[in-house]
Amino acid sequence: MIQFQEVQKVFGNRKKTVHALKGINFRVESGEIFGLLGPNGAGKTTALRILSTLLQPTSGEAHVGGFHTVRDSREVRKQIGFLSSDMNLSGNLSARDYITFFGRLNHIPEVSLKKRVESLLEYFDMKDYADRKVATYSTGMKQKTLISIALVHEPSIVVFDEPTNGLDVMTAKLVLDSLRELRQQGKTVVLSTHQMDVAQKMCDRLAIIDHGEVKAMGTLDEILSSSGSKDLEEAFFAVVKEDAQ
Amino acid sequence: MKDTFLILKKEFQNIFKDRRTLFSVFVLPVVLFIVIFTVIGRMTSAEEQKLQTTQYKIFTDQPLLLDAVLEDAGFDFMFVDQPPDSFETALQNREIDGVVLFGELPSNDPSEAFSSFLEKDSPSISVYIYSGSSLSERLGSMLWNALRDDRDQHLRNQLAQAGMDQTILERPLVQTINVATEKEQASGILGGMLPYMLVIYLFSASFAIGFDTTAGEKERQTLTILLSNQVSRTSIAWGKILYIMSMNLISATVSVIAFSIGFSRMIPQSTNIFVAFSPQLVLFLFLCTLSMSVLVAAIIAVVGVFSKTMKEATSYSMPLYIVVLIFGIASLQPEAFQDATGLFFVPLINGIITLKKLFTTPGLPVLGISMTILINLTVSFLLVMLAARMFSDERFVFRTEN
Repeated sequence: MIQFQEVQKVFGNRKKTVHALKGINFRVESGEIFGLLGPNGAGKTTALRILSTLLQPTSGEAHVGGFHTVRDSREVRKQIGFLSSDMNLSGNLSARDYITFFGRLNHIPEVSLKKRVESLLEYFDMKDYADRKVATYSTGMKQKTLISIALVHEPSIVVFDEPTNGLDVMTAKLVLDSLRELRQQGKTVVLSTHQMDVAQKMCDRLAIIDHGEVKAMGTLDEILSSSGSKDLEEAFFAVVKEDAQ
Repeated sequence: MKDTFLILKKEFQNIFKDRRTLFSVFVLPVVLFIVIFTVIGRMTSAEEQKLQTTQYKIFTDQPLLLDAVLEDAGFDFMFVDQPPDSFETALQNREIDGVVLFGELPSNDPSEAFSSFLEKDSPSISVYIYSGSSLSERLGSMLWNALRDDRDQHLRNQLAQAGMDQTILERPLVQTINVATEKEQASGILGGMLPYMLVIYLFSASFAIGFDTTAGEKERQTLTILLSNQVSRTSIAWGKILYIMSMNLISATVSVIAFSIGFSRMIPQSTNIFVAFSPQLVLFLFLCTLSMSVLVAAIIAVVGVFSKTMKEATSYSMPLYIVVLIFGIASLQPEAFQDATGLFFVPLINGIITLKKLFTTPGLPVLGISMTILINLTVSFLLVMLAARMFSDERFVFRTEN
C-alpha cells in the first residue's frame, strides 16, 4: 500500500522557488494499477521520485508498504521497482550484465538469479541482443532493459514513470502487458503517463494532477461521471481547463 | 561491503570491455615512454657521432700556427681560405664552424710559431663561435682545450729552461670525491622524478575515469538507476572511490615503471637506477602512493558528484591540480623540502615530500611516512562519508544540466 499525506515539494532557493507539489494526498491499494495523469510539469515525476526515495518531501509524509520514504528509505527501495523517464543506460555492459548486476545488488541467490535473468530476457524478447553492449541499443531495447532491471528482484510495488514513451507499438504493448501480468500476480503498480488511452486501458484508479495539485481522483467511471465527460480525454481537458480558468 | 565490491566489479567489467581505455591506461604509457626515451637516446648518440666525425670548417689568419696547435687535438678540420665578409654572418649561416684570430706573428717558422706568438707584448687569441650550432659550440670547446694544452706545454718548456720543477703547475692537486653509493646516486635521480611523475599520473587517470563514473553518470542519466536500488549510499561512494583509486594506481604504476625502463635506456650505463629499490623502500613507496591514490580518488569523487558535468568537474579540480603540480615541480630540485616539516600535515602534499625523502635521505623516514599515510587516509575517509551524503542529497544528485 502507498500513501501520500499532504506532500509538498518546493524546489529552488531564496530568490526563486517552484512549488512542484502543493500538499497532495492519495492512497494506492495493494494489487491495483494506479495512474497519475497530467500534462508536462504537473508534478507526476516529482511525486514518483518522492515515492522512490530519490527526493524528500518539503513537508508532509509518504509511506510505501508501511515504511516512511525518508526514515526507512532503504526498506522502501527494497520494496519497489522503479523506472523513471530520465533513466538511461550506457557503456560497454550488455543487458544481461546489467540485469545480473542489479539482481546481485538486490541479493538474489546466484542460482535463482540466472533463471530470473533468462526469464526476463525471454519475456521481453531480448535474447538476440542480450549480450551486445547497451551503447548500441535502440530506445526500445534500452527501455526493455531498464524495465527488466526494475523487475529483477520481483518487487511488490512497481513504479513506472512514462514507461511507453518513445516506444514503437509492439514494444509498448509488451510493456503494458507486463504491467497487467504484475497486477494479476497481486503487485501494486503506480504508473505515470500523459497518454490518455494508456491510462484508460490500464488503470484501476486514476489521479489527474495539474500544477502540483490532485484535481480529480477515482475510478475511470467516477472521474467521467464527476466531470460529465464521455471519455478520459474529455474529462482530462475539462479538469485542466477548469484549473486554468 | 559486498555491495561495494559488486559496484567495483561492475565498473571494472565495464572498463575492461573498453579496448581504447585499456590501451591508453596500460599500453600507451609503456610504448610512449620506451619509444620517447629510445628516440632521445638514439638522437643523442647520433649527434655525438656526428660531432666526432664531422670535418670542422675553420677560418684563421694563421693557418700554419693553428695547424700546429691542432696537430694532436683529435678531431678533423679544414681551413677556409677566403676570409668571409662577416664572421658573424658566416657562423650564423653555418658556412664556417669557427674563427680563430692570432694577429701578426714575429716569426714565420711553423715549429716556432706558438712560442714566437707568446713572446708578443700582449698575446691574445680571438675565437669566434656560434652557440646556436652544436658543431660550432663543440669546436669552441675543442679549440679552447687545444690552445690551453699548447700554452701549458709552452709554460713547462719555459720552466724547464729556467731549471724549475714542472709539476709546480699542478699544485695543489684538486680532487672531487663523491661519497654517495651507487644506490644513493640512483635514488637521487628517482627522488627528483618520482613524486612529480606519480602526482601527474594519479591525477590524470582519475580525471578521465573518476569524472566519468560520477559527473559523467549524472550527465548521461545513468546514476538514478543505481540510486533507486536498495544499495546504501556509502557502498556506492566506496565502490566508486575504490574503482577510481584502483585505476589511478594501476595507471601510475604502469607509467612509472615504463618511465623508469625508458629512462634507464637513455642515461649512462654506469648508473643503474633500479639499485635504489630495496624491499623496504618498495613497501613504503607502495603504502605512501596508496594513501595518495585513495585521497586523490576521494577528492575526484566528491568534485564529480558535486558537478553538473564532466567539464565542470574538470574546471573545479584544475586549481587543486595546479597547486599539487607546483609542489611536484618544486620536488624536482634536489634541495627542495629539506626543512618543510609543517608540510607533512598538508594532505596530498605530504605524499610528495615523503616520496622525495624516501629516496633522498640515508635512512627510511618512518615517522614522515606514518604521518602521511595516517593524515591522507583520515581525510580520505571523511571525503568518502561526504560523498556518501552527497549521493543521498537531491541537491547534488539532480544537479544536472538536463
